[in-house]
Amino acid sequence: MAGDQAIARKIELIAVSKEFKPRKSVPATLALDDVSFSVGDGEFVCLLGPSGCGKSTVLNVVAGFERPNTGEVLLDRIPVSRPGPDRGVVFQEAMLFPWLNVFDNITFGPRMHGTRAVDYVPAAERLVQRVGLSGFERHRPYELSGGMKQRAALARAWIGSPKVLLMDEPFAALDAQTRLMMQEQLVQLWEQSKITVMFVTHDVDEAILLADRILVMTSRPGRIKADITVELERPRRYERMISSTQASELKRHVFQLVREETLKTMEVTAP
Amino acid sequence: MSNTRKLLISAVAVGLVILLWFVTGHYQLMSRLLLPPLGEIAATAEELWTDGYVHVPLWQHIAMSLGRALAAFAAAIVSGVPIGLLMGMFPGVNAALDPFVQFLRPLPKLALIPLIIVWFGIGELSKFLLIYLATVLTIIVAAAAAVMNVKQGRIRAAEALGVSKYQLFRYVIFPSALPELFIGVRMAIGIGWTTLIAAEMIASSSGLGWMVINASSYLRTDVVMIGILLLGLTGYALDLALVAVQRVAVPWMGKD
Repeated sequence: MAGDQAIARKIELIAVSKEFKPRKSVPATLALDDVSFSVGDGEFVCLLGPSGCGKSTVLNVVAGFERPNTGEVLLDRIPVSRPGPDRGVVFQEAMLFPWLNVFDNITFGPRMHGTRAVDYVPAAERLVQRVGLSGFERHRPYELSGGMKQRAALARAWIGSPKVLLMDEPFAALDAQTRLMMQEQLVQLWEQSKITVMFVTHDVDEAILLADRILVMTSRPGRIKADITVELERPRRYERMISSTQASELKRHVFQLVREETLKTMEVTAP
Repeated sequence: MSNTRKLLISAVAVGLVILLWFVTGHYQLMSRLLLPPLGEIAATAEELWTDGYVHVPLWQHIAMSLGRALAAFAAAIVSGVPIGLLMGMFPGVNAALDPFVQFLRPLPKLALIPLIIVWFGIGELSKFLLIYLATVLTIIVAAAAAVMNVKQGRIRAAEALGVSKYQLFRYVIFPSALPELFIGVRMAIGIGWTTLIAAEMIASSSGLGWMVINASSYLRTDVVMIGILLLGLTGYALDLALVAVQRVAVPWMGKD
C-alpha cells in the first residue's frame, strides 16, 4: 500500500519524467511521463511491461545512471543524483570484468573502497558458496556458463551490502531451466536478507513467481498502469503455481493488462 | 580449425610459392634480371652475409634498421598511448588535438621529407621522426577509439560498485581498452615499418631500406629481393612478437 506508513519507504519516485532526444533531427521521445510510486523496505517489486515501455529507464534513474528531466528519486528520503554502492545493480548481461577471475570480480567493490582483505574475504567466500560458484573462484568469466556469470554478477552486487538491489531483466538471456533455478536462488537470498528488490521483467510468470507487488507499465510514454499486490503464499514453487487457481487467475489478469499495452505499441507502429 | 592444421595450410601455401619460384628459375621462364632464380638469391645471400653490402655486414644493415624502427616505435607507444587515452577520456582534449591528428595521419609521409630535412637536418633524428610520425598518429587514433568503444554497461556496472573517477579509468576503462589498443599498435607498427625505406632515403649509408634503394640503382635485383625478403620477414617477426605479448597481457581478447 502506497500510503501505508507501517512499512518504511525505501525507494520513492515523485513525478519522474524522462525524455530522450538522441539527435537534433529526430523528435524527442517521452520515455517516462509523471511516474510516481514507492517501494517499501524489504519489498520485492517487479516492473512489468512490453519492451520499450521505459521500465529499464525507471531502473536507470533509480540507479543514478540517468537523471530525470523533472521529478525526483529518493532513497531513504535522500535524493539520488549518481550511481553508488548503496544500490547494487545486475544487468541482463553479466558485465563481469574479463581480466579478473570470478573471485576478484566478486570482491571488486570492497577492493576499490580500500577494504582490508581480512574484512571481505570471509564474506566473499560465503557468498561464493551461497550462489553455488565454489570451485570456480579462479575461473575467468568467459570460462563460465551464462547462469554462472549471472550468479557471479549477483554476488558482486551483493557483497557491498547494498540497501536495494536493482535488476534489469537479469535472467532474460538464460535458458528456461537455468532461469527457474536462478529465480529460486534469488528468492532464497532475498528471504534470508530481506533486502529491497526492484526487478524489471517482461515475463508475467517471472513477475508472479518473484514479486510482492507488480507494477504494470503502459507502453510509451511509460506510466504506472496498475499496482498489483501478489498475495500468493511463500515459498512459491513453480510446480505449485501451475496448478494453483489463484495463481492462474492472477496470471490471466496481469497478462491481459500487459497484452493491452503490447497491442498499443503494434497499432502505433502499423502503417 | 586446429592450430596445427592452420599452420600446415600456411606452410603448404608458402612452399607452393617457393616451388613456383624455383621452377621459374630452373627452366628460365623469366629473365634473371626480372626474377633472379632461387639459387642465385642464395648465393648472393651468402655473399652478403660474409662480405656485407658495400663493405657493411648484412647483420649491421638489419641492426641499423631495426634500431631506428624500434626506437621510433617505443617513443610512439610511450607518447601516443597516453595522448590517445586522454583524447578518449576528455572530449575537450579530443576537440583540440583531433584536427592535427586527422590532418597528419593520412598524409603520405614521403611528402614530409623535404620539411623534415630543412628543420632537423639529414641525421638520425630525421629518420627517427619520420618513422615516429607514421606510427604515433595511428596509435593515438586507436587509443582514443578504444576508450570511446568501452561498453557503457561495463562502466555502469563499475559506477554502481562505487568507484572513483580515477579508479574507473585505471581499473575498468584502461583494461577494457587494451584489446583494441593492441590491434591499434600492431597496425601502427606495420605502417611504421613500411616507412623505413622512406626514412632511409634521407642521406643514409646503411639499413635494409637503404640497401634496397641503392641496389636498385645498380640493377642488383638479387640484392633488392633479399632486402625485400628481410624487410618482410623482420616485419612479420615484429608482429609475431607483439602477438606473443598480447597473449600474455590480454588473454581474454576475442573471448569476451
